[in-house]
Order: sequence, then structure tokens, then C-alpha cells
Amino acid sequence: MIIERPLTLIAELTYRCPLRCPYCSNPLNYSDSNYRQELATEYWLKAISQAASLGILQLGFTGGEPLLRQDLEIMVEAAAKTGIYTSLITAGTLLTPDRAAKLRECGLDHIQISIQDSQAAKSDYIAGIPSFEKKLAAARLVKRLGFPLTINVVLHRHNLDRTEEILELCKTLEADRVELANTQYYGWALSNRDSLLPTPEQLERAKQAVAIAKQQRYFPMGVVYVLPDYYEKYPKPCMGGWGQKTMVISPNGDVLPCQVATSIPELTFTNLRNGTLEWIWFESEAFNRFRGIDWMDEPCRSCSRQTIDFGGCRCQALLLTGSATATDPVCHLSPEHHLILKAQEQGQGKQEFSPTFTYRSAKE
Amino acid sequence: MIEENQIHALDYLGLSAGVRLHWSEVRQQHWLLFPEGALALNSTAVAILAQCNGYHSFEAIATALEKQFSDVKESDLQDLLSYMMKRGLLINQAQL
Repeated sequence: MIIERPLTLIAELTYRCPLRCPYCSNPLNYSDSNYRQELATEYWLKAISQAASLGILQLGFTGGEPLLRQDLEIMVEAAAKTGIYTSLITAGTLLTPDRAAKLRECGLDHIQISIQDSQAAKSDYIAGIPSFEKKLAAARLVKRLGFPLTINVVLHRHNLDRTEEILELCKTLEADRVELANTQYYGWALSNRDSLLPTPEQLERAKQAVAIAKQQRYFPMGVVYVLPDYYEKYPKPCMGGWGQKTMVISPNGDVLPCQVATSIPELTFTNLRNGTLEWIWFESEAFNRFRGIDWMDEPCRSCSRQTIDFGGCRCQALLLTGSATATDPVCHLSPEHHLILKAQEQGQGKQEFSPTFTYRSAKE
Repeated sequence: MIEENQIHALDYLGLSAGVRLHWSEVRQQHWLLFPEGALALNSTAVAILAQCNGYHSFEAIATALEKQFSDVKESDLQDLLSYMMKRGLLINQAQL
């Protein structure tokens, strides 16, 4: 099998974050000492240089909140010198005019800011801290400095009804690009699933609002609408296929094929301190474990869509069925698809109540 | 036949903010890089985008291109510029 070079490196600089969103994609045990021992600047600089040699074209600095790393500017500068396209993926609350201007000078290409809803009180409720106004100020700052601006919004039961208002707000902020991503149920989101799952009616109305924004060309670089896989017939080709396009470096230096790959206990991940990105991409066991189609069980093994969706998400398969080689249960052909139908029912059964979710928080 | 007004929409194009060309040594390939995306470019596309600096009319780019490549049709040029505009990667800089 020919292994293509990776396109994207996701650098999770830290799992620390002032926000407490209940669908955070960081691991449930993000506060463990293992993750608090964050990779030092010199290792990140080494990783950036290795990424360029490996042919990586896109580098996203994320977290947690990447602005909590005071050496971010040094890393951006080093990456910009290699020609890699750099993005800062931030909650925006810590983006001061000084730091934004410095990042611009260092050659940062693009900034993505998250908002949680179209109204201050509702956005702050999801974020778990007052943050909405700071986010809007950050978005305006990004535009003023001439960066392209992406606004990212995670969608769920509590904000889907305001998709139209959210898109209007993004338009007012002059976003160049908008990502509306329905919640994916791993980690924190999985533990809050009953409080976050939307109804099919909510999804349908949101889809219409997105169609209007697309048709009217609100955003020059478009709207990405990530469908909620629980309501799809087939699973999504997670990460464009395991070990096909993307590498993730977690705050402690472990190199992963996706942000939630540590949820698969059978895998061991090579740390940046012990191997080069090139070796990890081409040779390591974790990156080769679910590459291609040889690892597949039925019904994927004999399915004509196996090279379209690659059997769906390995982490979701494991979390819901107990087997990382099973078909993603989101697929209607999966023998475990009833698990998804049951989750939909459970979520909708709770619609009348106002279920409270667990905010992201450190384990005591 | 290409409509007159369609042609004028393709005058004075330049790369949008945050869009840039990149040569990848290890891949031996030109790329157009932009927020969350990368397009591999052939030599014609590179020559066309190099002309997109906000100062050239469609006709001027077409003339420059004819000198470099004998087999490039005006409709191909129009298709490429229109596609890049639709994706927000090129912008008419006369409006700025």
C-alpha cells in the first residue's frame, strides 16, 4: 500500500483552557499529570521543522487554549519561515491587540475563533464563563489586522434553533469562512449526550438556514456544515481515513492519528521525544493499525463503500460497541445500529425537561 | 462565445487575504494555500495565479498566457478564474 504524505498537523499546545464547554474534544482526563507536563518549546520547534520536511502544508495551533502558551509566537515564526500555512484556533478571550499584532508580524496566516451561540447569555452558558463580548472583540481585531477570519460554532440542542441568528452574527463580524459543526459524541460530549442530542426537526431547520447563507454567499470562503452522524445513513470518513491526511501532537508530545485516538486502549503512541514525525507517520504501529482495509470486520469487509467512509470512526466504534474494528454503529448496516437509535430516543425523551450537563472540569 | 460582462468580472483579480502560493520542495509541487485548504497547481495554473496581482485585466492575462503556453484556451482561463473566485480565493481588487 502506498502511504501518502500527511497534509495537516494539529498541534495541541495545551489542554488548559479558561472555557468549560460540555462537548470539549480534549480527553476526560485532560488534567492528569501526564498532560500537565507540556512539551517544551525546543521540542515543538523540532516538530515544526520535521513537519515541513515531511511535506505537511497546514499547521493548526490549538488546545485547549493555545494562547496560554507564551511561546506561541516563537512557534508561529518558525513555522511561517518553512512556508507551512499556519492557523490559530482559539476561543478568542485571551487575544489581546498586542499579541494579535505580534502574531501578524511573525507570519501567522489565519485565525479561527469559536463562539457558542448568537446571544451573550446563551453563549456564556455553554462556555461556562462570561466570554461572548471578548470573543466578538477578538473577531473584530482579527479583521482589523487583515487576517482571514473563520468563526467556528459547535451545534447541539441548545443552539441549533438559532442557526440563522448565528449566521447573521458571523456575517456582521465579516467572517470569511464559517464552520458549523454538529457535536461529535466522544469524551465530554458522550458523557453529556442526553443533554446535547438535537431533534430531527431542529436539524432540518438548521440545514435550511445554512442553504440560504450558501446561496446568498454570506461568506466569501464558504460555510462548512458538519452533519450530525447520528442522523446519517452512513458514517463519516473520519479524518479522511486513519493515517491518511492528519497528524495530531497532544500537549505531552504523544503523536496521534486523531484528537481522540487515546480513547482506544489497545494503541500505544510514540512520543515526539522518542521518534521523528516521519517515522511515526510511515512506520509506527498506531498509524498503521487502521490504515487501508485489511483490518476491517464484516459488514465493512465486503462493502462497496469501504474506501469512501473507511468503516467510519474507530473511536466511536470502540466507545459504543466495545470493539475498535467494528463497523461504526452510526452506519445503518452495522449490527449494532440499534445503539444509535436508542440514544436518539433517550435524548429526545428528555426534551421536555431542561437537562443539565456536566461542564468540562478537572478531576479532583 | 464568452459574454462581455463575464469577462469584465474577471478583470483586476488578486489573491484574497490569507491566500498564498507555496512551493513544496519535498513534494516537488506548487500549491495554493488558504484557510483549512490546499490545492495542487499545475504549471499553467501557477502562471495564471502569478498574473493575479490586482493590476491585470482578463485580456492582459490571456495575452501573457498565450506567449507562455501555445495550447491554453481563453475558456480554460475563464473557468479557472471563475472557480477560484467562487471559492473566495481570488477577489476583484478594483472594487477595494
